[in-house]
Amino acid sequence: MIGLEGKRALVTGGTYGIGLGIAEAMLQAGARVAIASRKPPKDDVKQRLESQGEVCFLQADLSVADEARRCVRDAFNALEGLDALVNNAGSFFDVDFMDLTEEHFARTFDLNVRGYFLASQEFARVVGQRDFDAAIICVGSSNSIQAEHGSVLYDTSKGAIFMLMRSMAVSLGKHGIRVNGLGPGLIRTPLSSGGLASVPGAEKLLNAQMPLGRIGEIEDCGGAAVFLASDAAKYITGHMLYVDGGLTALQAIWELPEA
Amino acid sequence: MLENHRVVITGSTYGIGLGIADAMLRAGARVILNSNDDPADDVLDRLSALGECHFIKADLSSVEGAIGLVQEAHAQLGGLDCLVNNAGTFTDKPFLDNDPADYDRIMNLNVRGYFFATQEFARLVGKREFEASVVCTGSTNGLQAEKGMPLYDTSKGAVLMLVRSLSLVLADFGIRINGVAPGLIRTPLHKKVIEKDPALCKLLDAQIPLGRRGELDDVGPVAVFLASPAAKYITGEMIYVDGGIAAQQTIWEVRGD
Repeated sequence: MIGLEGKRALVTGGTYGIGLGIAEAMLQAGARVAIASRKPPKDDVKQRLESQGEVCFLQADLSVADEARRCVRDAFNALEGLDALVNNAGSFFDVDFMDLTEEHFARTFDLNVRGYFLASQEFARVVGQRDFDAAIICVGSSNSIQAEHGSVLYDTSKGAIFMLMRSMAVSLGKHGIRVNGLGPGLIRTPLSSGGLASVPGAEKLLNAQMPLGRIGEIEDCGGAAVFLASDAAKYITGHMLYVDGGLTALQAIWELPEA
Repeated sequence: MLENHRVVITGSTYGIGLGIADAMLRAGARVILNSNDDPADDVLDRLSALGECHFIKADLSSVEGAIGLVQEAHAQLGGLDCLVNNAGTFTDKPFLDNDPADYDRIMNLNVRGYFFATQEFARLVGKREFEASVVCTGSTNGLQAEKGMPLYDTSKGAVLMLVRSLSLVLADFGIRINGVAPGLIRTPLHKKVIEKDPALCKLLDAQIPLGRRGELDDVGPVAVFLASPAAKYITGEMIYVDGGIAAQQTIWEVRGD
């Protein structure tokens, strides 16, 4: 029941990080997968993905409105239909609040929010009336509900994703399409690794704030995406599923981890 | 997905608990069923056809009943990997008629039973590697109230924070704990009471983005997912299986005429 045999999925931003973990898990679950990314995948990533199932690669910058729509149509044509869209392509700027500009705002929201919106709209357009066997998954974040210092635009964009997801769930119910979110906590990705390495002792302190005792890995997220796209989730819509090792359940730690 | 997983499910001979038992067995688990009543004749036969299961009678509204069930299940299966806290009840008596006995009956089963069954589970299974887990049946009523259900709503609100708080504690034991929160599900009780009134059914369905009340088999596989290795980095989570009802604020017309 928690398998994706016969399903066709598009994963945006699926050539590295969390998107790559989702694409791999979907392939392993039996789906045929299209991956949209701004840059082509590295050779080793491409080979690994191709060894796990039927996969195709599409070039698209999801922050450009026309490209967000076009890549959904391209995926639909390449896979002769679509059953799942994973909105994942997103980014952030490591810039102090006082130095953030209109351009930072536009670039963050064009990718993290408008890209999801337009790709989802196009998905609903091309797949037509379904029988709750089609699903949209929006990668949100624990930052959809809890903020991080120095992360105002990212937090705001992920907060927007929470309600984008819930509102699309309400609107797309009559299309027979389910819409849910996957909210990773702190996951070790190419994007987060740099920051983790730059602050001495940060990882130990962060691990102490995770009830499961560790920062998440890319592989931790794939199972949840497969579940949400599968028939096992057929009565679930409008739900953000946090894959965060318990991070958002915890209020504060009261002692420092041992050095 | 759950081959060789040993699972005890409280309140599992009818309704949502039965649906969870059905899905767990189909996923390959060995299951202990429970109720405070003898099960209907066909239930054990039907479930036994799906896999190994045994029935233990116990009343989870007593602390001894809750602890005793977990101990007996552990002994019978030679260990436990998952506890599903599901046995629950409600009252539809008017607010002003709720007496302390009603309060105790609901809180003792819906909250205290979960608490002490989980404590005994952690005591017995010892240090694990996050492959052991507890699944608690919550409800959309843990988040959004229904008129005339203050005791039930309060108890389910308590279950939400029971899950979140125990997720911190049980992490030290290598145990995950999560919840499944059904919305309006067509249990035998629902069919008997609600479906006498077609206009009410229509009004309810109109308030659900997926356009229908849920079935038992909408819920069971979600519990399987939470107990499975696919959820190995998920703890303290409540998954709403509600067709989107909690995502929607109001409807402005009743569609489907």
